[in-house]
Amino acid sequence: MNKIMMIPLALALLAVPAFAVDDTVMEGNGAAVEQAAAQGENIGKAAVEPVDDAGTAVKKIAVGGEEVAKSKVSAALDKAGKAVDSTKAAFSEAGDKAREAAGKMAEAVDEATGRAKDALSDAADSVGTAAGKASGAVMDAAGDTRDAVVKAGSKAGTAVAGAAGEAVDGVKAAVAKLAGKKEKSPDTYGPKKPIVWTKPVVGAVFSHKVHTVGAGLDCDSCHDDLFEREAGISEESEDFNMQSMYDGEFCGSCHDGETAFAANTRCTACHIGVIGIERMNKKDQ
Amino acid sequence: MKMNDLEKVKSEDLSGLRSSERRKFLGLGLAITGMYLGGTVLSLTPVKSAEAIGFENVVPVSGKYPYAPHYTMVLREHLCIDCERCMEACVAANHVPEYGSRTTILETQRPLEGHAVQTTFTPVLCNQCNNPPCVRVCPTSATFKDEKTGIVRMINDLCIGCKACMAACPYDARYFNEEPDVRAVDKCDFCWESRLSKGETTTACAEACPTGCRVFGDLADETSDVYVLLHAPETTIWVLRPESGALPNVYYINK
Repeated sequence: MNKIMMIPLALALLAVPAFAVDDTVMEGNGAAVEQAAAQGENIGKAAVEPVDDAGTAVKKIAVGGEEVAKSKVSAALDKAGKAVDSTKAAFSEAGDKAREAAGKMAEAVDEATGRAKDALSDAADSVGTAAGKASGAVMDAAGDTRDAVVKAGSKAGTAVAGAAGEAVDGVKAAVAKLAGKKEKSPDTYGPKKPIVWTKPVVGAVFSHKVHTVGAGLDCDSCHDDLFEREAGISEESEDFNMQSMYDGEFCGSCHDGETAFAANTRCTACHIGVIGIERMNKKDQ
Repeated sequence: MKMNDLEKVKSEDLSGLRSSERRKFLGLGLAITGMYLGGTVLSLTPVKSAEAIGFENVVPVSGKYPYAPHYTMVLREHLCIDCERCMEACVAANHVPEYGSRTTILETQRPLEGHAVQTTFTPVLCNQCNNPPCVRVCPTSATFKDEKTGIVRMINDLCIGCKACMAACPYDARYFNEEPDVRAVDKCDFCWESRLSKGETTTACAEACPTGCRVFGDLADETSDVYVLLHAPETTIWVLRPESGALPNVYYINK
């Protein structure tokens, strides 16, 4: 449609310089000039009509286009709004979860704080760094999201930013607690050195740290049902031997081949021998 | 000798050496070099033919035991926990002085995933070899292979303390007992003197072992624990330093 309308317009434009040339060539030939001028006028008129039509059509299209554009923009706005809502919801959910997790971790941290005050203070710096990094990352992500939403014509950016802020706070708190837990985990409450058993055979050791920090066991996993909270009590029992362990007593309670490696395998994991004990003592010195 | 007399004697410097003698000397040098070179090249032969000690010679084959009883010890290596009760029992049974030992325990460590380490304890004692290097080098026949039991034993009175046997042993299983009443090289004799000759059926170390790592017995007896262990399916059996060609009678398994 547009192309067809453009043809007479182009012809008119081409005709003007053509007749201008003729003008100079045919100077003195008035009749021919007038004829040519008349022809040019006709062509010009003929060209103006489609242009007017085109103008109208363009106007119509513009109106239609406006409507379409409006509908599209509104649809885009709707979508953007929905996206904002879902983002908000996601952020608030994330915030809730993070708060919940933070709460749980806070309990654990509080329980252990009494025993690990020093470790906690040492950890403060690294906690700050970790939290800062995490919040920076989340803020960046939130910023990107907000830009995208603004570009789509939404005014909900601030709401998202608010939600993102909440989420950031939650994540920050969670990261802080998590980092705190990681930093404070050294087993400061158990025996410092591995417990060395000399009965019924020499050279067997038990590392408290391997079971608390390493395996993540709680105090009540072993105390006080399986073992007393004092080194050397168990080995006074007459039945403190491998057969009892195979029967599920003492270490055999976990070292059954399912919870942990079976007590009748990997002997030297605990039995470090006379050589191992000597080496350990040398290290201590 | 005065210089005047010395000048009359024929010169012994290289100017008097004939070229044929030089060639002969060079030829000898090349022959020796070639002999060593040949040995090196021969060692590059394929694995199959390089089995200088055949499987049947190292790992016992039923019915081919040269001694009766054919005393043997099987060490179930993974069961050794280095409690050293065997060493204590040995000291007590055989009056081993503080500076010596008839049996010892070696430790090796292998890194596992992460920072874990697996420790392996290897009990070592005289392997009572069927082809004992110590007996071969003893100048006085103070150490000998018992023709009946296969145990490598000592006659202390004949020992001159040259320690050639200690140098020859691939297992470092000998020490010199400096006690005034001994003054001879001492070694594990599977408790022959202290127990077996007196009617006992096992060694002090095997008896003291709490984990069943040390198993002692007569390989010629098909009902013995050692026979059963060494002839069980899916068992990898190895000996220490098989390349020595000593043909030991102490076997290691992990079952």
